[in-house]
Amino acid sequence: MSAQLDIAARGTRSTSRVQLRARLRSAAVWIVAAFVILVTVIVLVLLSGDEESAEPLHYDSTERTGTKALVETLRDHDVDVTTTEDQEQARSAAARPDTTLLIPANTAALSPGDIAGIEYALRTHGNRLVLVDPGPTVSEFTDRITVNDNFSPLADPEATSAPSCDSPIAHSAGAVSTGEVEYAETKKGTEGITACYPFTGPGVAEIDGTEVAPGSARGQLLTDSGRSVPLTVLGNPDWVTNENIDEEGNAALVLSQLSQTQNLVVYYPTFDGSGQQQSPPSTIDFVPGWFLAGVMWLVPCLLVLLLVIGRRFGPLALERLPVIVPAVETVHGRAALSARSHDRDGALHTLRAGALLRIAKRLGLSADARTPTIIARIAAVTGVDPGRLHYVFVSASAHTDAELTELVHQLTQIESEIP
Amino acid sequence: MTTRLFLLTLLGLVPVMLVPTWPTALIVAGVIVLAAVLDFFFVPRIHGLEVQRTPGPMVRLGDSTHSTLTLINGTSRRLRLHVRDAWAPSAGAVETRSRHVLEPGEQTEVITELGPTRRGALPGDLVTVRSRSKLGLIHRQKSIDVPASVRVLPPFVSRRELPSKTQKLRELEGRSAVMIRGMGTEFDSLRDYVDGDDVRSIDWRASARAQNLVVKTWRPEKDRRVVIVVDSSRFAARRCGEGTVFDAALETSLLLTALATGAGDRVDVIVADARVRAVASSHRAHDPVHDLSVALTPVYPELYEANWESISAAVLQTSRQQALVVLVTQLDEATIAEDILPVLPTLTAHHRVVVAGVEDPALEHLAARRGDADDVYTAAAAEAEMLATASLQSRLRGLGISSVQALPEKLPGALADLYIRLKVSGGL
Repeated sequence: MSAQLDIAARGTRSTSRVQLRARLRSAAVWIVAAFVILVTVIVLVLLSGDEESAEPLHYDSTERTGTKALVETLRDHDVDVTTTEDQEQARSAAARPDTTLLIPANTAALSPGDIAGIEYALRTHGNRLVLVDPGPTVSEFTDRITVNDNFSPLADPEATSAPSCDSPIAHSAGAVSTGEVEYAETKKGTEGITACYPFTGPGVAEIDGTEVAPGSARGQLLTDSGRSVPLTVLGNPDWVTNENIDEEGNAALVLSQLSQTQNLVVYYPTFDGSGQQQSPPSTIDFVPGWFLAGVMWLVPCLLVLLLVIGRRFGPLALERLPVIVPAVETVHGRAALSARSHDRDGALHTLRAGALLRIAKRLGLSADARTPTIIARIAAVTGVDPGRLHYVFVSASAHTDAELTELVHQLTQIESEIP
Repeated sequence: MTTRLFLLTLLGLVPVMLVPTWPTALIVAGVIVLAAVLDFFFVPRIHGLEVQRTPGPMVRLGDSTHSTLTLINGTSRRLRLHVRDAWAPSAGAVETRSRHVLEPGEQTEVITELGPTRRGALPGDLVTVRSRSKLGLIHRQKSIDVPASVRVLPPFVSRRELPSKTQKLRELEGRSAVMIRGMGTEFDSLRDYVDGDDVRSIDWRASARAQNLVVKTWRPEKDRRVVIVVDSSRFAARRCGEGTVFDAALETSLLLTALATGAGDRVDVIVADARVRAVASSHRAHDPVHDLSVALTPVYPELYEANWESISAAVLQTSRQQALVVLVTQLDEATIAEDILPVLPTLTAHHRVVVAGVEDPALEHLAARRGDADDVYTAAAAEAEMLATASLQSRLRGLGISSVQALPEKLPGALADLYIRLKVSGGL
């Protein structure tokens, strides 16, 4: 190798400072990734910060079945509304003077002791209790009111109910939408019970022989002022929901019922708060703490391992490949063309010519030898019938692919017999 | 991030499992992160490192060579390095990674063994350097472009045929030198008549002086010109057996160069497609075959149409004296008829032209296929291709142009035989 070439082929490079722009470009992936993670975290925090409940008749729910509209409307009308899910808090709030306690749902979650505690708190200042559609649990609160079950199952009450009572609130509210349950006094003619909005319409006939005697005061709004704690039962939950509060006189009725006192406590009992629902111990409770800690520590270990083996030692080495053309493609293409056009004669002719040329060469004949001469020599050398040779090499024509294949096989066989 | 950092993290298992509380985990994690961050600032930068690559000697394909990577620590700190000397896969670098500790100003050399698998100028890829501190929790990495390339010459497998061909040439020279006096022969010597010598070659004047019969002997003329044209157009890019047609063409031209220069002729090689890609001449060359190999090394066929007009112009420019012009190209009917035949008269007017073509072994294989109808059609198509080549050869013969067509590994020998035949018969 000449010295010049040696110098020309040798490369020297000292590393230099990478420009800021190139650095930024290489760091762009990380910057973008950090930005995406930041945005995701912010969005998640914002979403989770808005603790909205989707439970039916919940005071924070903006769903169709929620009662946030009711609570907010009352607040707008200067009613001091206290909302809570905590019983202690509800009890202390309900013990203030000039207060109404509203329990919109889940009355089944309250034990008799809870109810007694709540009523005790209410009783100190003669505060009212308002229940929304308590169903059969109304008997936990009072034995003077019950669910009116002496209706035919086929009853079809009208869609709106008229007040049909002396209550001025009901009168000013007018007709309201009809629910599914009606309440009645347990004993006919109980003192202090006012019933409004009874079912009317076809099939609403009172049946005898049930718990509620025919002719008892009944309706969807029952007010019992004869107890130590005045009780109001709003028999239709639709009256207070976000979806239906604006229909008929629902809003007027409910708002005037609940705005009679300066303070309103909305207590939403929950089933899990009391602590009696302890989940059974799972397997993980039996695993020792140090083991769990070790397993948890493997997560950062794995992270570091990924970072260690994830970084490539330089980019992949490049190979400049020379161009290569697959040569026999044209042959395959031509074969496919002649096969599609069924050019059997052409194929047969070509193969015959090729075979004859090879045979002539092998038998020492000149390349210019005519076909009859070659056939005669073949017959002389191999002893095959010249008629058959003439048939295979000259006269036969193929009408089907099978015939063509057969002829070519014969051709090959004769060629192979030439020494 | 290094393996040590992982091991350190794994070591964190011990305190975390001994005191399994959240504060422990946080403290351990904090210590690890702090150690990593501190270590990051301890890692010496690689800016001052000088990297130099010296490619080893050029070799023929099949032999192995090496490249030397020189690292010079130009910084004022001790460098702990992990170096990857990357090469293109076809350069066949065996072990590319190495570790070094360099004091300030110290230099070291890494020899990377290369076993090339392809002919050509094989370029080195980036050199990647990782630097770490004594603690070695974090490394900094950088890829540096250090241009260098090793030259891998064509294998010249047909070299082994050279002795036999040279021998044959000498024998034929000696045998034929007695009688024939033709165009490419020159006077050699006088010797005594022996029985069987042609009476026409008796030199009567010399016989009269010597008082016994003396004959003149002739030998093939030396210092003839041979011009080999290697077609590097799209036809040369065809896959053919193991390599491409171009590889076979290179072998052929190398053998012919070796043979012809050995016989005292002057050989010029022109590699051309749409333009002239490489030119080599044995004139004043110390080792013509090596020079030719070097000239041909970086040339690869490209997908161009060959421009035969410019090629013939290049040939005419190369030699004004009568020469043997060997066209190593494809015996393709359309190309020969449309592109080569129009320019042939200008060549044949001054020179003797030979066309050499590489035969595709796959073609013969396909022509022998006998099975279902599809096989027969394929065989017919392949047979048609071979017949076309054969008829083309006989037509060229009619024009006074010799042609050779052979399988890639046989073509060098076949062309050498043709050369010997022409040389001996005074055809040059």
